[in-house]
Amino acid sequence: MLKVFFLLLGIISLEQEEKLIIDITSPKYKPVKVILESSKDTSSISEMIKRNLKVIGYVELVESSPDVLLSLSKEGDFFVLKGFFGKGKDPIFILRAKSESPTAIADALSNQIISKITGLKVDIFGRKLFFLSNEEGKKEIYSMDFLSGKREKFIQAKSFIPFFSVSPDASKIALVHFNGKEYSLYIADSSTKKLYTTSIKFGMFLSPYFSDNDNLIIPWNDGKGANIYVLNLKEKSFKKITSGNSDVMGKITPDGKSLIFVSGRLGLPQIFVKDLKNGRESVLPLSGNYNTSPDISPDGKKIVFSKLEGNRFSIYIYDFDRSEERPIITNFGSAENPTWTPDGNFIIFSSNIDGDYDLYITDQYGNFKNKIFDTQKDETMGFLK
Amino acid sequence: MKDVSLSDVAFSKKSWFLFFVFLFIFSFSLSNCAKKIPQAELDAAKQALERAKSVGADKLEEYKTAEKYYNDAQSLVKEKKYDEAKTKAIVSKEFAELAIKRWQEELERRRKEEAQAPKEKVEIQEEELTYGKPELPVLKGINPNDIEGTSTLGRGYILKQLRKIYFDFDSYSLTDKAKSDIEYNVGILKKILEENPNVSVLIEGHCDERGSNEYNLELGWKRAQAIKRYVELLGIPEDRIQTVSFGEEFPEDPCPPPQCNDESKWSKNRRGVFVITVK
Repeated sequence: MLKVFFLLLGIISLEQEEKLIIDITSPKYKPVKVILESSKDTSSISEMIKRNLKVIGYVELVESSPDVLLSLSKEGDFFVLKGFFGKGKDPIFILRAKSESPTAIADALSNQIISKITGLKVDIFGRKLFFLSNEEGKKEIYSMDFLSGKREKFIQAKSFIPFFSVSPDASKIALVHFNGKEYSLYIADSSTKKLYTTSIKFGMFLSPYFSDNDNLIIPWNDGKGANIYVLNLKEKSFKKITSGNSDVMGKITPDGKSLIFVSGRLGLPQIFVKDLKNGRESVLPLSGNYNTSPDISPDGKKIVFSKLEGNRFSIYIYDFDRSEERPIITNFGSAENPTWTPDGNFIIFSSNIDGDYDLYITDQYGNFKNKIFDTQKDETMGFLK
Repeated sequence: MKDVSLSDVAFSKKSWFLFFVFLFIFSFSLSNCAKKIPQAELDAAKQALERAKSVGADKLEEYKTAEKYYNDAQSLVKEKKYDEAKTKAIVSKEFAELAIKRWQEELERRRKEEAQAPKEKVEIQEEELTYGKPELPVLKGINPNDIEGTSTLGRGYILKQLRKIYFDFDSYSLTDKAKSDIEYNVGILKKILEENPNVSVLIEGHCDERGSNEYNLELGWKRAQAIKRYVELLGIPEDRIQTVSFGEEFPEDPCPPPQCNDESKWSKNRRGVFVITVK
């Protein structure tokens, strides 16, 4: 029985049938071997799809003996991608896409191919990737369409930008800029690039985080130590929510009930949870004496974080329901600053395994770890929006 | 019945004898008990200390006192002074529990403070990124040959005769060597500041590349503050001292782990730098 539905993505429409699922949670997991065939009028889109699929390790592009054969053709205004288990067999799925933008077609089909193969709802291609790069000898914010776009500097820093955050709707960017004496906070309008700052002109602002489009969670050291504050951009209010004098990296859980933050109040950094209703704080029961950089999964059930092991960072996931942690990236240079992709399926992190820091993508089981791009310049702190 | 009764009397006399023998042995055992290691008290004290540490009470004086008593108790055990060791262990436990209580009270106080913290109004206005143009001071009484170069981001001059202050890993405590180097620097700085009323001393705090950027920016700030406090104690007025942290952003001898694993390089990066800058 053919199961057909339409996915509208801008001016794109897709039709698809049935599912092919590999178990990415299995220890015996292996990538699916795929051949992607194209015709003359679909070859450029086919190349873009191949580039996309290469970065997600669930698919291995091969020359022969595929598990799945993909065939991209053009039927009228539609680009049609059919998936087969073998030549001469009925298609296991059919995807149809239409758009004036070849990149949009390739991104939408790529998301759907990975979704078909894994059963996950994948939505990463075509989104915007923001990151810090040392391309011009100082840390500045760059962005690019994932993976098709060119890198573009967001704003010219006068000195350097150690930290930044992007609002969920990507309309605002909060950034910390060293002004020669202090670390100042700025809010930038993403489209106009106009910059705004607050009347707080002293102290040291640290890593900002948008809990929603109007509320910024921001650690601020007023000269006594760093505590976490909420800056409400609509109300123009600033409220202290922790008092540990060494509290940074605050993030609010999706249900709005808890604050996850890092504090050095026990000596070395550890990850804490604060109940925002009763104010009670507790340290997460994690192994090791140095845990930092937590990022909450979109469903709020897990955090991904960095653990210092020896002289290098590894990446772990802590599951709130099971109250247990598990490593996903170890012995891979120093793996730092992990962040979830908005669909909750993947994790972007930086590692210096090749000398300089590059951005990598993995899944929540560490099934693969692939470099997103390589510039020989330090790239860190990647956020997909 | 009578026999039995006589027998009872006889048994009773024996019983008294045995009772006194038992009493003697019991007293002897009791006195011997005090000669045993007071393991239960030591364990209880240790558990209380661990509990206090796990809740974060280890920064309190009460915890430090508890820790001292516990260490004393252990030393006394080694000297086989078990009675005194027992007393110290009991007192250690009491202090550890007091530390937990005090810390919980402190947390409660903070919770109330946070709950009552007012939402301060802030202004948000359009403004370009600013970066104070580095302005190098014109120095009197300094031989140009004594200038080693300009500082991080060109905020001022580094002088050859001013010593860098080095820190232990993950520490912002001033070592004896650091204190003596600061004292040496202050001797030079006093003269420079007196001859140059328009300059200040800028103290930069730096870290090695281990740890997260955020943590190191805070650590660099704590290092700069520790130096500043000592410089103030030595008589340089606060309005002539500036501080800044660069965390791990500008290592003197780059050594990013794990590829680089060289303590001699890292130790050079964990530093405080004195810079002569405009006031």
